Amino acid sequence: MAGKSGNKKLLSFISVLALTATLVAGCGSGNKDGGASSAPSATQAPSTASASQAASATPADNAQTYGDTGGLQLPLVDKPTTITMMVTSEFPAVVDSMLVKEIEKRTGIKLELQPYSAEVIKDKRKFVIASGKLPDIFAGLSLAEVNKLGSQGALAPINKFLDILPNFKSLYVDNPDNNWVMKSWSDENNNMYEWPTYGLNRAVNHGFLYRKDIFDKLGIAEWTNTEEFYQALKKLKEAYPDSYPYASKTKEVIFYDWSFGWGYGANSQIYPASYDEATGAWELFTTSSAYKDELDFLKKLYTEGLLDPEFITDTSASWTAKMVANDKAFVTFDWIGRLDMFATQVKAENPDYNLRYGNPVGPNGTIRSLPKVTYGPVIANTDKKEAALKLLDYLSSLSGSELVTMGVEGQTYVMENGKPVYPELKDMPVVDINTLTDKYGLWLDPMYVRPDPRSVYFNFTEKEQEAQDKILKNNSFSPSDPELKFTDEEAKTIAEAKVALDKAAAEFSIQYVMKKDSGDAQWQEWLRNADKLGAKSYIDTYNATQKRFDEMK
Amino acid sequence: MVNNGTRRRWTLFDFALTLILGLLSMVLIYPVFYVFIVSFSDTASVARNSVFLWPKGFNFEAYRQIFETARIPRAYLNTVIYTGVGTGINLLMTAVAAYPLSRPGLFGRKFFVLAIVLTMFINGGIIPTYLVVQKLHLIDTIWAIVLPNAIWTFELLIIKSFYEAMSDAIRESAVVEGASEYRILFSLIMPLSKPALASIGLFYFMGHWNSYFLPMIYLNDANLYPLQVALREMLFFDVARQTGLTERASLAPEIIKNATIVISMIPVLVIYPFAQKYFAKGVMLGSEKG
Amino acid sequence: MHTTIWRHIRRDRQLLILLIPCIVFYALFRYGPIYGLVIAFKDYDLYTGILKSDWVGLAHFRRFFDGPDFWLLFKNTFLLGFFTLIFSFPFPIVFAVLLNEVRHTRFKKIVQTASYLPAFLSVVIVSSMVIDFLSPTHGLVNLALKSMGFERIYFLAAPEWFRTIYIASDIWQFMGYEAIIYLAAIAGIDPTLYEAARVDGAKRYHMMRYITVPSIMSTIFIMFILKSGNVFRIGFEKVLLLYNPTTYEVADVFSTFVYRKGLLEANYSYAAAVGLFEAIIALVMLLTANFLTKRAGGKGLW
Repeated sequence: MAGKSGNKKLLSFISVLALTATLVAGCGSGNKDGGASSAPSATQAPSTASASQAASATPADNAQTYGDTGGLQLPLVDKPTTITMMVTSEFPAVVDSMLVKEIEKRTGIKLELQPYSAEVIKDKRKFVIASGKLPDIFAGLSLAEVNKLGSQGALAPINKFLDILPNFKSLYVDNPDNNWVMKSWSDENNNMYEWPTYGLNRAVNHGFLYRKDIFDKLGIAEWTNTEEFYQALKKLKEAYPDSYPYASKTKEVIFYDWSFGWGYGANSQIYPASYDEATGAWELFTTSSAYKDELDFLKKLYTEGLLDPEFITDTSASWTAKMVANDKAFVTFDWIGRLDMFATQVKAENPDYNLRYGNPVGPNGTIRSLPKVTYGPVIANTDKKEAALKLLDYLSSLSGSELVTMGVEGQTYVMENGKPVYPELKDMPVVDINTLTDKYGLWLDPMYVRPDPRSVYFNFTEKEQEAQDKILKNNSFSPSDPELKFTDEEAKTIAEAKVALDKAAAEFSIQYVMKKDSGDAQWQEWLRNADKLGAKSYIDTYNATQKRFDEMK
Repeated sequence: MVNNGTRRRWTLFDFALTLILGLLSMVLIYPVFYVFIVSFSDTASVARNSVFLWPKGFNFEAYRQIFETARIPRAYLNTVIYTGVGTGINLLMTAVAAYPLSRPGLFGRKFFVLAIVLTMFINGGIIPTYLVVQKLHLIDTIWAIVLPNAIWTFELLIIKSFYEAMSDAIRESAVVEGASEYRILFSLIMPLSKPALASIGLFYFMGHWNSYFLPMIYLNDANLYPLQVALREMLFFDVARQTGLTERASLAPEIIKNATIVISMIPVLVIYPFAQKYFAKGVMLGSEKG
Repeated sequence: MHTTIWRHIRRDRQLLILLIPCIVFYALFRYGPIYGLVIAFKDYDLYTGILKSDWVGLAHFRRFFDGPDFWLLFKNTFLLGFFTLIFSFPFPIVFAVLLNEVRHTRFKKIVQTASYLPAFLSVVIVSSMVIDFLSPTHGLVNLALKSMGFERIYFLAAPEWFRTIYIASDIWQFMGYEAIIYLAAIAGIDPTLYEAARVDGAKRYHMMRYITVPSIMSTIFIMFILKSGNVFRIGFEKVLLLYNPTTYEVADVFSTFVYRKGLLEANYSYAAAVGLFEAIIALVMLLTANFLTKRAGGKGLW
């Protein structure tokens, strides 16, 4: 039998083997040379006919042929440049689309698209970055990741190039509505790496939905305040004693969804921190008296059998079945797409099915206001960065916006009554952004940094339009809370506290709503518990950051 | 095949057994059956949750949509190839590696087994593994599918345990006749381990057939995608398409999802009876003689 | 000293040669990437890479241990895994042994195939079905309870039911799949043993107990050891689908906690640290099971 030294020998033999394997794998991982551009063909291609054509066009021609470029000179580059862009798309054919060709024609930049489907792009992106070969333009990272990458020199700092980016400047620097963006999204050194997207959100995306056909049948009018909402549910229960008029599939998110009617104004990333416009201070929404009122109201509904008792576990399929039946549930809160989706699904059997958007519920009578500016792409810090920046700037101009989200007037579409119509697509049952992507390469994420409001994306169905109008008419939007910029340390503290507070709040809220005899004693206990979990330091961090934020330029 | 004696009268035990197993089968089958019938039903019935024992509004719409999607037939073929090649490599490597590890006196045995067991617990993570595969230039090839998981430690240890449980007498007689280890392994041990190899072969097969994540990250060319990746992409996209703006009677996502499960199940159900014959009794009979 | 080693190697050279592909495989694909372990001790980000990210030592672990819920999560993770092992372990064995007693081959094949089918269903579908099945308003179980005069039970909102539901659905889904190994082991039993026993007058029950089960003991032992290695490692998907705030106190496990955290900050290092912690405990479980098995007279892993 081999002695101790024998085992040592074997050990060293094996470790040499493993070490070799490790070295082979280890070297080359995570290089820091600013992310060399990826594909081998991403070199300066010899000039093509179109590029030289564009190069010889005069600025005046550009302004006339291509619309308002916001002061940018087309073409954007004086020698043919190829830029790689990672886009979300199920259609590999987009690499040769009309859009790519048109962009090359106008700007001289050959776009090499790297399409991945929405399902896989999240993971693919991780590996692309880990391999060190960043595409010139890409999107999808969180702001924290973006700033981290940027501070390591991987991304181009937009703020250092404002002089060549007139559209960015006019949208996000000179425009008083939007200049908070640079303040909020830059990193600790005030470098901005995240290119914003302007105007993507519609006014209304979610809200209370109700069965107008049933309401009409029973002679119930649509509610205009919380008390009428309650009465409507009661009448429904009287008519259908075996039903639970309000159904929900969002589990504990119901507390968040309803909070906008009770004054909450931020989003789920910031929840439960809430900004009080009157005092200029942040507080914890889930320990506020407004939240207690919200819970008391939900509790009333639950106790009287108006809220589905399985609201915390209901599945999407089960909830759908309730909402399309005629005697199970009649009101819910969800995405407005359901208005048409459910109707289409049961049209054959129930042509009178009529789900409509309802007025907000809650003392404030407001719904969430969706931000006008949302996250967009980032630019890799390579020798192509100026071209890439200029390209994004062009796409942020009116001319570029029209190209990416509508097409080329006269060629791909014609205007009819203020809306674009696509002659080549007249046989399609519906022309939505997917059809446009399929055919022309339009609406590729993240290229639509400034959607044109006339685009088909904003074509609402009759029911969705009603929803938009209803809220816009009374401007029933909860004022948006400021987007603060936190340091790394602060972000960590906040994340820790938020996870704990969210979990405890959800546990408490459900108990409170479901238990008959819960009352003030439980509420006080919850306040104490939240304190223990770090509510104070959580809110203090927000207030401190707010102060710093206000004092910044 | 050796029978367990001549046909006897059914005892109480047999009745009880049949009853219990019969009921059990129904409980086991029903949900799968439910998935099956939903895949042939229409959207309205599914939306109303009214499908129970048979399809309502019987139609092939989901299947039509799936197979008309450009990538699916190609993906199906890819999966067949990956599974065939992959399972073959799995079985070969596992069956061969388990043998030396099962021999008690093997030099460094404890070390090897420990090192192998350890990999079930500590691993470098998906990104370093990806980088290794990348360095070896396997990305976007079939080898990225079949090599990085060529051996599953769990299965390796099971086969090793099967080998160890085999009686020494078989091996001894071969050694006496001067057979090499190679000969012993391939002509003796492996043929006698057919049931065990068939069962891990089935596990490997299922693993390849259902694999989604690893092919998704190791393949960039969509033409190389296996079935699960193509199906999920299609599903995801289909749901994204249902923005409510389309007037056509869109198919509820569950129906298509269920159809994808049925499609994934069918081939394995076909293969399975072949594997089952290895579980018949008396396979070892005649091994000790001669 | 040297000569003994080399002589040993030479004696075993054929076996070692057979082992070479396996060694290469593990070295390349399992130990090659192992340096990635250090992610748990660094402030890793994708771009800087593993080797160049900053060291933070045990900071992540400390943050993890100091969290308010640490012991609760520990308890939940451990109990869920432990009970799953203890309660679900016997079922595939019993099923295989019983199935072996079926004489009508066609029936046997049908039952076996039926038992195997649920393994095909995704965790999402199974969870949906479980939730539906146990629904307090329209689930079959409650409808049955009501018709028998009992009170309805909201199973999924009751912490005391969570583990039962989780484990029972696991058993239902994988019993047939896991029985395959035992069936393979049973197939290898020499039929003459049964003949001899029958001649001696043994009943069916005796044969199951004294022939079938002991003959597959080595398989039972190895499966027990291997499964112990999974006790602490609960995947987040199924728990995520079945739990809700009313059952957090029992259902929230490490992986679901990390998942919720991951929605707020993409912290690979933190997740890696938690994963490493889980893995070490699981390894301890495996070694314990290995030790206990050897004590009970069985063969361990080595």
